[in-house]
Amino acid sequence: MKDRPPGMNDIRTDTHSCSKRNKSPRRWGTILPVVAVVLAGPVRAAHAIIPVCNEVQMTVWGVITPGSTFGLIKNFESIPGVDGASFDLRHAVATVRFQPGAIVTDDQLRAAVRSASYTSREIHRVSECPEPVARPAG
Amino acid sequence: MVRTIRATILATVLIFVAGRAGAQITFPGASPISAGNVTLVIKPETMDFTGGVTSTVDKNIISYGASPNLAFILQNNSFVSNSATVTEAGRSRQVVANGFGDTVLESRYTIFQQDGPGSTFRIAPYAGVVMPTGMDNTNSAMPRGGQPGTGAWATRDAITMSYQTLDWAAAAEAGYQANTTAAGYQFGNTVFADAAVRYRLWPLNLGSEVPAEVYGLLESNFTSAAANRNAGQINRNTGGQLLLVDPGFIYTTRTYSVTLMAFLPAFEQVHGNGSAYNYGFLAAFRYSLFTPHHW
Repeated sequence: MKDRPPGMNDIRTDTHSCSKRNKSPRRWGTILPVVAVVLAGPVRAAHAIIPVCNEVQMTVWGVITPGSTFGLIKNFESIPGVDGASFDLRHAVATVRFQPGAIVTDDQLRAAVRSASYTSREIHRVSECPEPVARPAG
Repeated sequence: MVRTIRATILATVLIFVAGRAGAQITFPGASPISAGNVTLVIKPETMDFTGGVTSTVDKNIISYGASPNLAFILQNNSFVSNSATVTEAGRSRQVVANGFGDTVLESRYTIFQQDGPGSTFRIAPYAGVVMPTGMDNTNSAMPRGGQPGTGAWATRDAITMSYQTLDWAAAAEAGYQANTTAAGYQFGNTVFADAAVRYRLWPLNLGSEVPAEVYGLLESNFTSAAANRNAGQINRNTGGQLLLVDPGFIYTTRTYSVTLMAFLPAFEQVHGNGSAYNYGFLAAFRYSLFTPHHW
């Protein structure tokens, strides 16, 4: 399991979720954490800084053309909390990205693959979600 | 009245060779259709026969994945234009019949599925019904076999299988269509068998991102049609066997595809003086949509 490189997108400031159907919240989902960190940094108030568990990689069998990835990706994106998905045809691996704070189970992911009429195999969580740790102020 | 009908085999060819709905190009295969996936296909076709017989059909096909295994396919021939030479009392003249065609509703259920990394093998039977939504008397000078619609109900049953990999794919189908009698006229029942192979031409090597692909296609369609019956009498100028070979290309992306294909007769055995198949062309445009409403 590989870790994502640290960066602004790896900072979660709250556990809000937003609808993936709305393009605007997705954009704000990127902008808001940056704004929050910039504003909160000088104050150095107590807040949680943890790596997000916002991506999984999943091996899926039976997908053979770009056209056949369409239904798979749409079924992934139908899961509440999923921000987007893509598929690597060559390696038969789907990458599913979650909204900050979203909780998506393996069973939900496997059900989406089955709904798309394909066969799910291994699921790799790219990064784990530890419990939030409060930093002391000051 | 003596009426020599050049268009006698026309309807059989139209309905059974080029009239099948489905996700494949010339016949429905067992390719995956995800639950919630809706594909819209616009497929104009033109065919040329001996004796001045031509036919142009614009097909609209909607496929819907109702569940991971169950799919429904609705095909409507939104425009049909048939042209034929009709010889009456020793005088020949060109007759044209334009109008709305029939509608076919098919259901497909995948009964076997074996997936691998970058491959899938599936078997799926089809059951369908041909609904007489078309105009079967748009031009009274045109023989019944050349009208845009058949005017009769029919059932269509088939079994298909597909094996697909990242580089190539093969599919086959065999089926039977049983036609009913309407206004004393019955189109001959038909046995059909189809095969298809495709090979990826571009990109030569797959990367992690594959936004589009180009495939070379080679399909074949065999049809054996019984003679039509009019008021219980066999029309010996109808029916026969026809084997078409269809080379073509398809450009496909995640959401749409464009196909060009030719129909070339490889074997023909036409009953009586029925028109023989010369050639045909097909263009198809597919667009994919998704609905969360599915099982």
